[in-house]
Amino acid sequence: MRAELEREYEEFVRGRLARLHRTAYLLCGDAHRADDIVQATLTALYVNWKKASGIDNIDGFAHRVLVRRYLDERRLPWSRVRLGDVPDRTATSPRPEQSIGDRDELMAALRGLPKGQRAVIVLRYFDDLSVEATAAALNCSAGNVKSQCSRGLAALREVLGGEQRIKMGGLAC
Amino acid sequence: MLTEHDLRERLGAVHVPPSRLDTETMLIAGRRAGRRRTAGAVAGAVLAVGALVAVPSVVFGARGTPDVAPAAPRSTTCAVTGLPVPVGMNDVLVSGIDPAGRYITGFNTTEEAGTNQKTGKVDGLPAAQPVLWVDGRPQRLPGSYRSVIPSGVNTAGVVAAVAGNGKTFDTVLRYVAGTPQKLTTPAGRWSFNQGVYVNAAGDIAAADDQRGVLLWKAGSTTAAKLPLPAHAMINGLSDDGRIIGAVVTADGQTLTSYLWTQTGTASKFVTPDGQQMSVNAARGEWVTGNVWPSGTAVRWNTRTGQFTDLKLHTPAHGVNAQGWVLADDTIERPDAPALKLEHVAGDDEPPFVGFLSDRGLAAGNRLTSDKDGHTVSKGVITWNCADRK
Repeated sequence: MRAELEREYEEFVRGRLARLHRTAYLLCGDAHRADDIVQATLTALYVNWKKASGIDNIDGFAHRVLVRRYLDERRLPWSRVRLGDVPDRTATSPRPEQSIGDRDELMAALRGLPKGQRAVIVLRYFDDLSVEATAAALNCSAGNVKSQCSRGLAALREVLGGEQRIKMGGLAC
Repeated sequence: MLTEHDLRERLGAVHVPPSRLDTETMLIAGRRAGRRRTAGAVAGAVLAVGALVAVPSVVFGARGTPDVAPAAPRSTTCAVTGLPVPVGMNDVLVSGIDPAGRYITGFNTTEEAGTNQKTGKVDGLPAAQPVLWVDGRPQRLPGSYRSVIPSGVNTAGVVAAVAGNGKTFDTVLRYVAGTPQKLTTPAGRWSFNQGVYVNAAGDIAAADDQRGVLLWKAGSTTAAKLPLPAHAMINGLSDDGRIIGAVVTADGQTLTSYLWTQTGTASKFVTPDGQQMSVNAARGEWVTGNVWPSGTAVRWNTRTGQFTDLKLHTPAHGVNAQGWVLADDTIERPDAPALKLEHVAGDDEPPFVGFLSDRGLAAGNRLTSDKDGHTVSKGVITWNCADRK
């Protein structure tokens, strides 16, 4: 890669790395898998940087690649190898006597969502992507994003329950 | 009540463990991938070997500092062979190898798994057809299920697989001489999403982390539910019938690995430095896995107690009877230099190497991305490291 392009790439990575890692972590719930996903995403961007850097919405493109890596990950047999991830049962059968902080509770609730809904929630409410940009990242229609978002929020409301109930009126899918 | 603002704030406030990545390591990884692609364009060879010999392997240190493994004196000449796949199968992934290296299992998928991106619903298992290679020759395994994924095979060629037609793998199959037998489960809806294991005798073990661990003795289709802790997960079945597995606390913070007898007597894996250990594979007296929080791959001799931190920040996928540990594209040997498994020149992604026989035959996949960014198989390959010094 030419030095100028590589500088552009380096600047892009420097500015986005932490946020991409957080996005990946919110999606998969495991820091090491998040690293794997982000590394694969950024490596793919590097290899295609000449083309990717010319895309108007490079962030949208990066999110698209990242989400694909996340959605693909569990399909592959090596996802069986445990890297310290947390089992889904924490989301579905929490022990009432346990004191789980709000943040962990939110992660547990996220893990309880189907992957598509989780991706929509994270992209919409953490990455602040528009409905259209989220649809582009997930390769689906804006209507589908709204539908999944609505289902995801309803599920979060149900899981968090009680005092943690989400005020649906304050959330726009 | 949470508002939209609260939800955004809470997502932003979730505690995220430190990343091992930094800008410099991403540049190095990108350059390596770029070199692979360039090398491929020049070589134009499907299975040319050795294009990356001079490129040091980068692994990521726990604090984001790249540890650069020495480029020499590693032996880098394990013979690479591409395995044929049955006609019409285009996305075949390897899923197991027997200890003698004669049998290899895999499966072909024809669609994306899991949640439907458009509806958000789990709309069924991916269609998957099982494949068995015998001495390098592939054959389709029969199975009247939409999805059949083999995940274990022994030296007699007995294959263990999970299967299902709906949303979960609710069935376990045993293939003997290529013919499937359905293994019965106790009453209730069972779901086997962790893979199944077969030992030398032909016993098969599988777990539903909500319902328990089942064992089918060789020749029997009737399951015995083992008296193991609730939510036990399994990662292996030894030839003497013991179960290698783990239990995670309900808050997800603590993972403890165990070796259980079939009567439930537990031996706990306790690392010398008190880290948590996720046991990923076991063979004979050897065990491998990763320890946390360091994240490094380790080798453990359960007979002598010798514990070795391999200092590799990568998943340890397998271990063989010689104590060779397979960690991504590296084989760490107890008494010999590590082996680096070459990437195929021209591939833009590193291969997946997941399985290792006792004599040193490793099996895996070449990988690439399709136009939508999905990871797909570019071919099935083996590395024969049997006589490497």
